Formats: sequence, C-alpha cells, structure tokens
Amino acid sequence: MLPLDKLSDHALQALSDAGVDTEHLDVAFYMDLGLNANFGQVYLAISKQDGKLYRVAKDVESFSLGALTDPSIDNFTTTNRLTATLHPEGDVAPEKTEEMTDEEFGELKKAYDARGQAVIVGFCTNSCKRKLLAFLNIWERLARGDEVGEEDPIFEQFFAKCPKCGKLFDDPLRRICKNCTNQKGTLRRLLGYFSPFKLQLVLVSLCLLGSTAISLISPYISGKMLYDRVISPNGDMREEKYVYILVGIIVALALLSLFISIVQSRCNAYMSTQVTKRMKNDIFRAMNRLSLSYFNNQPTGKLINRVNYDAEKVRNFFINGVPYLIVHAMQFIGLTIVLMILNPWLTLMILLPVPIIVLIFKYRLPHLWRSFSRAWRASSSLTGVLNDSLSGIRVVKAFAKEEVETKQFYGYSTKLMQANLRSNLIALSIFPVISLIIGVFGNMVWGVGGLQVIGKQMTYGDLSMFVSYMGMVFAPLNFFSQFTNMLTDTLNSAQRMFEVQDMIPDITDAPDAVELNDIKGNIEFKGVGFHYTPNRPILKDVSFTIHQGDRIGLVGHTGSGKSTIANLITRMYDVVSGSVTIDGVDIKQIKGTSLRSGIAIVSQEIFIFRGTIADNIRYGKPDATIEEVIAAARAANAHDFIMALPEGYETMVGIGSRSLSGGERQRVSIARALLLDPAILILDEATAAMDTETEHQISTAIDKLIEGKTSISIAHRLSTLKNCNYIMALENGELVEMGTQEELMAKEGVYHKLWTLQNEQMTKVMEGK
Amino acid sequence: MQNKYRYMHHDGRHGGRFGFGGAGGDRSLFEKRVSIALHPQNAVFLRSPGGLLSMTLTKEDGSTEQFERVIPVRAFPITDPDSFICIREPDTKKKGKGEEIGMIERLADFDEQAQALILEELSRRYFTPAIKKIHSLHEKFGYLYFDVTTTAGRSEFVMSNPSGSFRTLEDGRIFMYDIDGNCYCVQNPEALDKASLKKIEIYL
Repeated sequence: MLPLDKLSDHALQALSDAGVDTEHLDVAFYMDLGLNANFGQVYLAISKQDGKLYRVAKDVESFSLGALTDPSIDNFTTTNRLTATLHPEGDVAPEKTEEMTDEEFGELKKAYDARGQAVIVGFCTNSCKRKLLAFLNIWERLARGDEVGEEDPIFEQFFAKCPKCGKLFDDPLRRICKNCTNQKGTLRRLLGYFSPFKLQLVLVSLCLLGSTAISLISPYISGKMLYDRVISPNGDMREEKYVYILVGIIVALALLSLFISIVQSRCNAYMSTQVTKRMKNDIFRAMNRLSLSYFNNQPTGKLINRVNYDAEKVRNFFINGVPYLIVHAMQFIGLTIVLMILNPWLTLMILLPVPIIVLIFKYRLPHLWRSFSRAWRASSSLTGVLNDSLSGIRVVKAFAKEEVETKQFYGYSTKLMQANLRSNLIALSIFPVISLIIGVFGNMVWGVGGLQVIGKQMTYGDLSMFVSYMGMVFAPLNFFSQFTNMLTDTLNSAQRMFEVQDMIPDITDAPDAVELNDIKGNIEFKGVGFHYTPNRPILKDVSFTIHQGDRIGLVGHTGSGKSTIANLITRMYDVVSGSVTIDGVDIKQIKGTSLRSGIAIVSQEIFIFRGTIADNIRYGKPDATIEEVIAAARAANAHDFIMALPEGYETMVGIGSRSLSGGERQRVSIARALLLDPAILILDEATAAMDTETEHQISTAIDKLIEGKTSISIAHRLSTLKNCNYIMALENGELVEMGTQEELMAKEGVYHKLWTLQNEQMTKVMEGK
Repeated sequence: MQNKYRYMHHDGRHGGRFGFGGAGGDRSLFEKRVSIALHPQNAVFLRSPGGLLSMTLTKEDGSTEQFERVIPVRAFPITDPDSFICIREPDTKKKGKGEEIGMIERLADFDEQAQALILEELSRRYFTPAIKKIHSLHEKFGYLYFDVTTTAGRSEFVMSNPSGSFRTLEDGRIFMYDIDGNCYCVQNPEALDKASLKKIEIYL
C-alpha cells in the first residue's frame, strides 16, 4: 500500500468482512471527521485491481472508480468537504473518436456530466488537508490507470527528515527534531556557550570557594574568638593586642572577600557579555536563515523581543543566578553541618520553619510564575501595538485616529499594569509572611540560646556565632525560591531561543543540490499548485514554458496569483504540487545562493536599508565598482535625482535618515536589481508608482539591458508590457491564455478584453467624459 | 441588456469603476455576476439527491436558474452568524468560479426547512467544536499541546504562537486556533470547570 495513511485494524477487519481483498489496496486515507461532521473516523481506500473506492465508516460502501469521478474539495473555513460526481452504474465517460467533431464530443460530454450528481464523499479538518490533496491526486491518477509508486514525489512532503539525524519529523510542518533537541538538554546547551571560557570558569569557581570559606570563618572569628577568648573574663587571650589582631583579621577578611567578589564579577562580566553577543548573533543568524513563511506568521515585535530580551534574560541568569546558587548551596550544607556540631537542639529549632517555608513556596509560587508569564506576554503585546501604530503613523494621522490609537494603547498598557500589579501583589503575599516566620524563629533562638547561656550550657560567643550563622541559613532559602523562578524564566527564554535555532527552514538546499553558475533563463512550470494557507488555493495546476530571452508579460487581476509565480521562481516558497525548473533543473535541486544570484526581482514592496544610496544599490553585489553603480543608477533613471541630493551617492538614506519618495525608492531598487545583471529579471509592478514619462524612460533602459535575458513583467497597465513578446493571462489561479500580443488580440479573449477596456478608458479620458 | 455584469477595474493612475456589457452568453474573466438580494420569494433551497445544498433562483424577468450546489458563507461568522449570508457558486474547475449569486440578509425570513438546510451546511463550514473540558495542556518549545473534550467529541491539537492564537471576544467567548488552522472555542469561560479554565487562563 502506498505510504499515505494506514488503515486501522478495525477498518481492515471491516473491509475483509465485506469481502474486499485487503492485500491489494493501493492507497488509504484517514478522514478525522465522521459523515455527521463530528470528530470520527472514516477511511477511504482505493483498489486499482477492483477498480473501486471503499469508504469505511459504520459500514463499508464501495464505489466504482469509473462511476465516481471528478473528486473536488470544498475549502471550508476549518473543515474540508470532499465531493465527487456519481454517475449511474455502467455510464461510461465519452471518448473522443476521430470521426467526431469537437461540437459533437462537447454535446456528449455535456450529456454525460448532466447524468452525474454531486455527492458527499466525506469531511475532514484542516489537519488532514495535505494528505487530502495528495489522496485526490493519487485517486485521479489511479482512476486514469496510471501507476503510482512508493517513491512518488508526492510523498516527499510527508517524510521531511531532520538533516542532522535523518529521523522523520513528528510533524512535517514543525520541523523541529525532538531527537536532536532533547539529546542535549536546554541547560546543557546554554552551558555550551560558556565552554570557550574555561580559565574564567576555573577562576570564578575558586572565587566562589574562597568567598564561601570566608563567610563561614568570619562569624567564628568575630563571634567565638572575640567574645569567648578575648572579651570574656576567663578568656585565654584576654590581652589588648589580641583585640587589635582579631579586629585586623576581621577587616582583612572583609577586604579579601571584597577583592574576591571584584575578581569574580569581572570574570563574569567578561564572559557574560561575550556569551550574550554570541547568543544574539546566533538567534539573528538563525532567523535570517528561516523562510519567508516564518516571518509572515510572527509579529515583528515578538521577533525583536526574542533577539533582545531572551538573550538578556539568559545573561542575567548566569551573572546573578548560577554563581549565587553555588555559593548558597555550599553555605547551606556547610552551615547545617557546623551548626549541628555546635548545638543540635538549637539547630533543629532553626530548621523547624524550613519545611513551612518550602511548603509556602511550593504552593504559592506557581501563581507567581504564572502571573510573571502573563506579564511577559502583556509586555510583548504592548510592544506589538506600539510597533504597529508607529509604523502605520501615516495612516493613523490621515484618518485622524490618534485618539483611538492612544486609547488602544492605554488598554494594552492597563493590561500590562494589571499583570504587573498582580505579580507584585502575589509576591507581597508570599515574602513578608516568610520574613515574619523567620523573624519569629530568630527571636526564639535568642530566647532559648539566652537561657542556655545563663544556664552555662553554651557560651555567649557560641550564641553570637549561632545567630550570625542562622541569618546565613535563611538568606539562601529566599534565594532558592527565587532561583526556581529564575530558572523557569531562563529556560523559557532559552527554549524560545533554541526553538528558532532548531527550526529547520521550509526551504533548504537538497543535499545533492547543484551550483548553477551560468543560469540561461529557461523556466518551466509543470502542474504547479500552491497555497499560502491550506484553505485558499492560489495557483491551481499551472503549466508553462518560458525560453531564454523571452520577455513575458503577466496580466490578471489582483489576487490572481501573479506575484506568487514570481515568489515560486525565486523559491521564496516551495510549490505544493508540481515542479518549477530552471534550465531543466528542478529549483529544489539548485543551491539557493546560485539560484538567487541568477534572478533579480523588483517587487511592489521596496525596502531601503540604512546606509548610503550607493550601498543600497550595491546590496546584491557588494564588490561592484563605482562605474557599475552609476551605470545601474543611470539605467534605472535614478542618477539625476541622486546627483541632486546633497551628498550624491553618499547620502545616507533609510530609517532615521533622509527619506526618499516612493518613485525614488523604486528607482533605487530597480538599480539594485540591474546591477546584479541577472539572467532572469522579474519586475513585479516595478514601475507602477511612476509617471508615464519616467516609466517610459525606465522601460527603454530596461529593454536595452535585458536583451537576450529572460524577463517577466507583472503589470496592470498594458502599456508597460508593450515590449513583451509573450503575454500570459492568469485568472483565479489558472493560466487562461498565453501567446504573442497579436495572437491574443486575434483570439479576442481575456487579453483582448483587457486591452479594449484600457483603450476605451483612455479614449474616455481624452474625450473628457 | 439581458446579462448585467459589472466589472471593477482599478488602474494605477486613474482609478475607476464602470459597467461592462457581456459580449456573449459565457461569462469570463472580467464579467461578474451581480449579486442580488435573496429572499423566500426568489430563492428556493433544497437538498440535492447527493446530499448537497441546491438552489433555484427566480430572476426578475421570471426566468429561473438552477444551481445543483451552492455554498453559503457568513459575512460576520462570529458576531452575527444568522444574517448577511452570501450564497456562492462552488469554486471548482467545472462548476462555477466561486462567484456570489446573492445575499440573504436575514436567515429568519426563510421557512424552517430552508433555514435548517442552510444552517447544517454552515455548521460544517464553520466547524468550531466548543471545548467542554481540557484534560491536559502542556507547553514545550513555545508550542501548546491540548487534549480536550468538545461538543464534537474528544480531540487533541497543537497550537503554535500562543499569544496570537487565542482570540477573546467582548462577550467572553474564546477562540483558539491550532497549528493546522482548525478552530476551537470556549463558549463561556465561567461555565468551564475550574481546572480547565486555570490551564488556559494565563494565555488570555
């Protein structure tokens, strides 16, 4: 059976009970909605041998493949309905014979179609969409009598493999390999960033050991030694000089401790800034590597957050978290031992509140984490809103919606305030209670210890030391509780960071991808189907061939799929079905860099980067000479306006600098594309924003440049396409006409109509109507 | 003119909208059917033998047009599901281009049988199971994994980008979109059991 879906044991049983030879089923498809359109299980299976399609729901039904034809999908919002045309049993589709005229055949076909009725085959949610499309394809091919093998390219999409370990992804769309991600725990992976800093790590560890030792010794000297041996009336060192010596030691220890902490902080600062830099670089690189579809699905504010805050959070964890965790852990264990030796009963009394505190943390802290998480989200949304309304400030002002925007912002900032307030309130209900408990037990130690001192069971020095140590026992508890919090936060941030890094782009070079250094410019689309979201097909079975040197004009109204064709040629997205080849090579087999260096695209969306105009023109070819830059600018008719700028080609443009007008930006972007001197040039409404005269000048310049090269111009205005030697007309995702202008005009079809329309309009304008 | 079609054309500079007379019987690229108001007097809905929604349209001139299958689409599926329902041709290669035939302003104007037929079709189009209980929800690498019982049965789904995949309406309803583009909803968060609500609370 073909590797699409497997039949459940139950379905297999039902089929063989119905007398079906289950060994010879070709393909099975699982639909996750029942025939009543609720969740359920329905299986479709095709057997070429029997010439049947079986539907296994409650019962097994069978349809003859000859009678059930034209399967099609109703793209509903969240579900898909598979329908087909059912003909009476024995009604065979007419075949065209030689003596039949087209009209006669048409009549027969019409009559045949009329005898069929549309029936519902089944329902499934969008989760089954990809397989549904594949199943339909296989169904039609099997019904035609074609062979479909297990190696058929249609199955590739379901078997996306992790390039690292070669295992199948759990979800082909998610492209995160659980195998590769889990092997190295997030924390260990974070530590990996610190591996180049071994010397610093050793130094930091020594510092931590040193400061722990000092903090353990200090109370002994300032407590036990000073009180019991020097100050106490029966001390064995009751001499003035020992006072100086001990105070000197105490001060020296404090200084040493300060020195150690400076060394440690400096090491940390050095490491952490380097590590943060590397993390940010890694995220940025990982993001850039991802395909366009990722950016379409993520708000920009969120991406910025990822690059900035997440790395900072991780840095903070390693500076203010990990070192103190180690110090506090060593202190806590060391102290418990020392205290037990000193005075077991008093120690137990100190440790008495620990379980209470731990319980409070355990049950109250999750609330706090959740509220922190909510605050993080609120802050992220606020950034998003800020980003949106500031980017769209022109529209906001044009519609005088400043107040509405402000109100909306107030709404989001109120939400953030509430989230933060809530976090604070929860925090306030936890920590003061704990302080109170610690305070009560601390005072009890003074009381009980005081009684013991009076009863001569312990010395005053011991008690004083004990009280100092006691403070040191509780301090880490507070820290530990916050540490778990910090750890969760950091792990969240780290996971988000690594998620981006682990995500395997939808579009990757095939392992055996070839360099195509000298792209000639032959483009072929074979049965290309494409959609951005499963329920809105953009291209349906588009096939055409463009030869080297062709100048193609692509027409069709908005949303007909013109720009999508440009996106597919440059492999911004991969086709859903069919293939795109350049010079006979499937573009999936061409290295991305060599593909893009052979194709330049000037699109509707123009982006000018921060930098000089010359840099912007040179963007695609940084090593271009000044002569080349100027030549490209001249060709794009940009030279004149550039020379009128104060610093010529060195004028700074982009965000925060001089802003160029729409037409100027467009000309810069055309120059950018021309400089690449590509084999294939795609102009996606490139001259739409220019006046007719400029457009004319540019198109003549472009015409000279693209001689012998393949060009595809997408335009609404047919005048733009006057130099094209072929016209393709798209409608509703289908290629409806292709030919020379003369042919299409003679055909009196779509192109002719468009032309007449624009002509009529022009005449009306001329006549002043 | 018998066939009144209107073509809307937008030109880069001039911009404009004007009528365009259909040249022949066949409609093609730029000719569009003019959507008309549908009411019980001019539109009769029936279930086709194959179980699909079919419609007979009586035009102004008294002639009728038969549609073996039509697709109802809501203009305001969330806030006003029973008004402004467009009736469209299916968008398939052989039968129609998904053009709008007409619009039903108020579904309530139609008799119960027609209403039931249209609503059944709509309920499939906007299949949005209401969550009754959330059995488990865990987050991993920014993805949420749900296991829920809904009005349409038990289901598991995965959600990416939690902050963008929850949509809370003013009336309190919550819509949740999964990674495949399926939609689940919570009709009334207050009626949901506490443990379930707690699981999704932080994402709202």
